[in-house]
Amino acid sequence: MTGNAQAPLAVYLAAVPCADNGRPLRGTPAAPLPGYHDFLMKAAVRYTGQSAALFETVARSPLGKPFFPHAPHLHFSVSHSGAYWACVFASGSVGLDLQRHTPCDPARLSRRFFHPEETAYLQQRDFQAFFRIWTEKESFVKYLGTGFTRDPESFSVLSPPENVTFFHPPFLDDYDLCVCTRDAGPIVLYPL
Amino acid sequence: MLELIQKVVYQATGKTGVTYDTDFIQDLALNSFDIMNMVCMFEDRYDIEIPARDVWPLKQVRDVIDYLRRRGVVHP
Repeated sequence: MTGNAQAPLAVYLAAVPCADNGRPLRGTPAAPLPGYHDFLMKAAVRYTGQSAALFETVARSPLGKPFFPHAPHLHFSVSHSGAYWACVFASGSVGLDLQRHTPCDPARLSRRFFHPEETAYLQQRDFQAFFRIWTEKESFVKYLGTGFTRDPESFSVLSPPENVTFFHPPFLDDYDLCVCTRDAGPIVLYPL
Repeated sequence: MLELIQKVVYQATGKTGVTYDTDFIQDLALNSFDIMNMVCMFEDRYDIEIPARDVWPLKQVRDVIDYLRRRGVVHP
């Protein structure tokens, strides 16, 4: 499917076994549990139909964007939150963010990290859309490949400087999931 | 200072078992939101601003302690 402009955006989701203290379980050396890299390899093999050997190594750009050195033209983005891990593959640049609705002070976080336009928008809505805006911002900086080395308060997803679209595939009620891309294709969710 | 960080990590993420060597991403699997949430808590507690560019090199708990000390933060 790689390089096919008509290909749908493929989102893969995996449940991460966690301990009571919230840490992901690692298993034992003799019987390790799958980790995030295992999920990514498995998803890449399913998406491309190619050998897992291509996806054994993950490198990072100077700004932290992950890529496969042996399959550098495969566009993907990964995210994790709570008990879930997710990744997306697309034919062009793409960013994904998954966020559990963690207890927090959304007004404080908005004042600190959001553009004034976003904060005003949220204030008018009693901050009900806080995690939707958060996931749009994070998926956008992942789409750009900068991560939050780009100051989050320097741009507004309500009027993004690039011609991108934010998709919110339905997921669990206490999570927000967002894909940022210029592609207009359908999004398909697959369990891992 | 370690106790403070344990408290902030717990308040922000519900995660426990933090030591000086704990890596926020590798060991606790924190994400960007967890880290930004913690940044706000440190800023409020010590009335400082922590620029985003300062945050990402702080991998382990001991890095945060060193950073806060460099910023003049003295925890009672």
